[in-house]
Amino acid sequence: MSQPLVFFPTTVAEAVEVLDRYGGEAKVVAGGTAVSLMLQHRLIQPAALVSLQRVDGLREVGRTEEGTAVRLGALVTHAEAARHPFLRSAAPLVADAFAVVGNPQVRAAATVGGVLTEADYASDPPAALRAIDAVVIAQGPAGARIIPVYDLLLGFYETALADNEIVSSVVVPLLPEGAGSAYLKYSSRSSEDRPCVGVAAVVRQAPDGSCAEVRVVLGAIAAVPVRVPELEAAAVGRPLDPAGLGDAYAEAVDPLEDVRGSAWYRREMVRVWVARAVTAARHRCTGGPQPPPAG
Amino acid sequence: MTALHEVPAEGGGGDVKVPDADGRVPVVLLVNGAPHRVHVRTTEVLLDVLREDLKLVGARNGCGVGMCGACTILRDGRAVSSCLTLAVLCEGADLRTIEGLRGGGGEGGEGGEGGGLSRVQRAFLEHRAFQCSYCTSGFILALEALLAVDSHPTEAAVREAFSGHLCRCGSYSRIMAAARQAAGLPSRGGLARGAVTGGVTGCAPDEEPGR
Amino acid sequence: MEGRTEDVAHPPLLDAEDRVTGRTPFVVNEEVSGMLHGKLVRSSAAHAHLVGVDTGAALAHPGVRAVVTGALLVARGGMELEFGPVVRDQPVLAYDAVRYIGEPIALVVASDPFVAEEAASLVEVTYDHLPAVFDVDEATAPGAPVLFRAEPERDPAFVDVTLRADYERNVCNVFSVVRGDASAAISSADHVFEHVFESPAAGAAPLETHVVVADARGDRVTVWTSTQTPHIVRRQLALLFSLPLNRVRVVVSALGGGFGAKAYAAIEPVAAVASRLVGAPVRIHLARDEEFVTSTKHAMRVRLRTAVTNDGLIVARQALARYNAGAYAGISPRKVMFGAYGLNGPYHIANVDIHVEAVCTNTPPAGAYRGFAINQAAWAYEQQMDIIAEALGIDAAEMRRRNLLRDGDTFCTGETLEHLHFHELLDTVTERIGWDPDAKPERDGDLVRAKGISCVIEGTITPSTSTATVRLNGDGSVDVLTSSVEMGQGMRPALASLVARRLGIDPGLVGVSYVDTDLTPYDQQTTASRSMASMGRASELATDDMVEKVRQLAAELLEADPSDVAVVGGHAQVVGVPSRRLSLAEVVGRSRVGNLHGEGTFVTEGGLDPFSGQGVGSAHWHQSLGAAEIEVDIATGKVRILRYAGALFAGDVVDAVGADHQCEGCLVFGVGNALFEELVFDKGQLTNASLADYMVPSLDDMPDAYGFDLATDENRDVHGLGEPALPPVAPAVANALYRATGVRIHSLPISAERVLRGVQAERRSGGAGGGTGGGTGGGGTGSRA
Repeated sequence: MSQPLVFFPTTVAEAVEVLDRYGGEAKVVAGGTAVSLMLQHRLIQPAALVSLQRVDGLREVGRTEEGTAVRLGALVTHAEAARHPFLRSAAPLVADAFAVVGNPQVRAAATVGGVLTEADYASDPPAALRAIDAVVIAQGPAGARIIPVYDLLLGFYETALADNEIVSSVVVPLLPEGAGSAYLKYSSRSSEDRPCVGVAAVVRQAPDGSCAEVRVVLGAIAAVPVRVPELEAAAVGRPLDPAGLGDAYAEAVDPLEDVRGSAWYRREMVRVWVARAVTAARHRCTGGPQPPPAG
Repeated sequence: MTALHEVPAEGGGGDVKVPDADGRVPVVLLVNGAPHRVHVRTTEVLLDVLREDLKLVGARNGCGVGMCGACTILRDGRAVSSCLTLAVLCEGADLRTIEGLRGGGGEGGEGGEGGGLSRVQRAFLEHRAFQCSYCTSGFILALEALLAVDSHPTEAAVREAFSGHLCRCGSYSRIMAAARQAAGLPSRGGLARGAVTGGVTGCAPDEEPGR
Repeated sequence: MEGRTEDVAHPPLLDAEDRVTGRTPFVVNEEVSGMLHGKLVRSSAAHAHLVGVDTGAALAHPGVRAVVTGALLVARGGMELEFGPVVRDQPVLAYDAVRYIGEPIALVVASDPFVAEEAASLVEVTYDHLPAVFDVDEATAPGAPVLFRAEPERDPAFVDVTLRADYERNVCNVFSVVRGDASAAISSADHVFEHVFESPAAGAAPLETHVVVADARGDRVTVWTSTQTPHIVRRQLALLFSLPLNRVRVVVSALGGGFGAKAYAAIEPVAAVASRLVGAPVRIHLARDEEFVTSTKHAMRVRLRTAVTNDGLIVARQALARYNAGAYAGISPRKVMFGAYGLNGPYHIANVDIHVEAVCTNTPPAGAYRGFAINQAAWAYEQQMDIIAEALGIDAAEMRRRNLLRDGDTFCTGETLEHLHFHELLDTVTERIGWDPDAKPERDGDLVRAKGISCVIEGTITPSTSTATVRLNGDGSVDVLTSSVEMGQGMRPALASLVARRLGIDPGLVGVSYVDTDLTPYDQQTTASRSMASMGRASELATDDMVEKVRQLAAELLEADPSDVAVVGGHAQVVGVPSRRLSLAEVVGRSRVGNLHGEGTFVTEGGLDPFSGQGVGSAHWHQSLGAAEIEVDIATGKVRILRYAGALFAGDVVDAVGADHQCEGCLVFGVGNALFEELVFDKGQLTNASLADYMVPSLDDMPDAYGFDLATDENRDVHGLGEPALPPVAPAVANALYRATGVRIHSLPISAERVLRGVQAERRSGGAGGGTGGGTGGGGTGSRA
């Protein structure tokens, strides 16, 4: 039960080198909110902590070279992501998801890389990032690789990262032209609660008003964010039907149960919040036909 | 122990702090403007170091999970939960506690007026915006952090700054009244947003400090 | 209406600057030179024989000074092994059986808390598991597991509780209120209504968890502790160590909230015992998850049968209620008395037959909790009032108006009640909320709004004793020495204000002590909303006693007859001759007495017969009403309280701001209890022992607008306001929900999930808002009409 060493690498390569040397016995620390909790409750007992705080270049937010995505450095905090003007305009649902995590104290410390690495099921950003097809850049001894968020999150607190890999940035594609998006967090108890259900939705409408594209990702109802490609495909080319989508998703999912709601209740909330999120996303579509007034 | 725990070679992975036999490493923390050299466990949270080593007891342990806000301090001006902050990662940061607010340390202090209290502290005092006051440092520092970046916040921004702060005794209406005063927001009459109170001890007691 | 609190002068802000600068001397800040730190090892079994506790690995851990176990205490001897405020049933450390998950089994003592915690995880406990029981009805059924083979020993000092225990049924006490002939009245009544209502266990969740430093070296025991009951803790420790009271010192500075959870001994015995064994001061500071299993609100289930006339007059009430005491009796044997008369409600009912049992189960001990037994009772009877009113076609407010107690009415305890204000309070809350008997729910999409009301009566602990000392110093300043505990309720500034008012001096000249039982005189306890009533009165009497001494001394100095000397505005003066006067400081100084003490003792008499519930239940009666307007999202079931209006009779209000604070505090508890506070157990294992999983209300959970009207009467005694505003909240919300949706929730909390189930059931059954019954079961009506 000895105390871990603490490394302060100044480059990603140095950080990877330490991780590689410790072969799974080292833990990366970014904002530290999750890691400190795990340490206090002895859920982890690493031999070393690898702090990223002195690594340069992990705090930037900017357009990728190709201009088709926003790159968020792994150390960008939730608060910074939530209010970043570029992210807000390019992928508002992602900014919205970071804005509703925890509380200001947590958002001031918790990072973009950290939340994906932690892979907590009751977290808001993963669903939004999955809905917009974000990818992470993971750096390991052999260099960088790209991992879609879909492939990164494997289960409860489990990711596809190797022991000697770190997330250096998250690449968030721009919302498609004309598309609208929303991330809605539903807390079943206090306003301070974590989500019972979180729904990320992206909607694009064809000139005739039919659905050109819909993406729906459900957070907090399973170990990892849930996306049902068949339902998304089936909705294309037909009039957008938020309530129908809600029913379809409610039938398709197999929700977990915790203090925030039973499986039955979560299914019902999927029904309600998918419809609401799709409706909200449609209202934010630009360029397409005007949506009918809210009902 | 395995080789993993041996001290790494110079330069291998940048700077490293190696715990001594007690599991502690030296850390210099800049707290309320003064450097403090302390020996901390590498898993130790800042809250424990502030309370136990530096005897700064204005930050308090309420929940240990970043939900209640009683341990809030300012890190580089931003409100953070010191119960979720590893002390070993705080070197170089400007840390400020309730004790470090303007004049909070003594008679008159820098500010002089109002017993050396900050504007926010004065507002909380005048509105008696506390009961047991275990949470009060956190609420005050949350508002200080907000006002430092937004001297004219909206009421919504103030409420947002207070999320993650629990007052179990139930002083929310007076906390909001104090915050409105400190933030220069219009006070709201006893009728608050609806029309319930009036008459006696109306519960949104915003009109006058300490009526 | 009578005088309003606007007229009341402002109290001094004793302590206020400390509170905004982080300097309040909380017990959690206490440090004693050389102190060690203890971490409890707790049971992971709900009910088991302890087979073995292996402390070897923990003892070998560097920095560990000792591991204290129950077996060690048994082997050592010389100290009692159990404690408890009424019956001594709770082991200091388990040595034979464990009865709940979380029960202390060992205390690891180390040089620092981190080491103690690390080593605690190394203690290995072996159990021989026994059948466990968690539900009160199951625990009282034949064949249920029995928690106590032998009846635990009583504490003879606890004279006001006559025990009717039946440990073969796991019942640690029963209390009955019987008046008139309920059976006969029911059999001949126009209508009879019968329902079952439930409340879950909940956590008081003070932000400061329990903390103690104990120094039991030598022939004394000193504890610095976060207790609401210093003199009871003193007595419990004296019994444990077989010491005279004056060898036990209990010091209590400021508490970071209490709400009942810090009443009676909890971790003081184990800390003191460990200190005695280790030979050093020992500190224990509970982690949040430990706090949740240290003292809970009682879960409760009640079957409530009420008979009414066609006009809606209540003619009889029968009730059988079971409060879940958890594994140890704690204060439950007294709680049943409050529950029993509490279930009568604030109504005139001639025929009453109420039985309330406190039942031991394999769950964490339940204890005092803001609203002491009344929350659970009001949750039941105030919903049933609405059910009855609707069935009879009577407006809910009118139904209450017809039945509320009036001056001169006889209560179920046989007391004739006076100074009742229920009807005017009802008028107040209905006016504030905008009550309209014919109002239909307002609907906007999925959001539906409606209003509900409720009315509650609550007693204060009776009999009760408080003593105070008031000391006049040589400079004219005054100290109040009291053992009442400041836990955030503002007792210190309020007492200062009260004494200053009596002397006619600036409140800033009055100080109030923290508690140190070596120095501060006896007070029964800081619970039951009694401090301002009881300690306030004792302080006034002490002030009068001191004034009498001032008059005697001043008479000599002024060469006047004592009967001609009065103390006015901080001076002793010859009546009618304002020039012949001395300041209080001059009286002390010139008579060379150093200082002057006044003593005050305030005792209320009373008590109820446990078999009939007849006698004197309370020195005065708290009268509290509430009205809520809620908005429910019928797609999710989530309820939001938009507005809340409370109205209470407060007697003489000493501190208007403090009174307001107390009411708002009650609303915080009411909102939490109503909507989401619940300790969730899985076979005795608490599953939400964290403030991330157990929700308490935040700023945004509070109603958009709320307020409390206090009916005051400066000629009446002071009414403590720590609790009365709480019990009406949850039933008012539930009644509003029913008016909005037709859904009746029988089990707290009014969770979104329960509401949605009700809404869906209502939809299936084709009911509309205002229809009968909900989908949540638990009720039935029988009608003879």
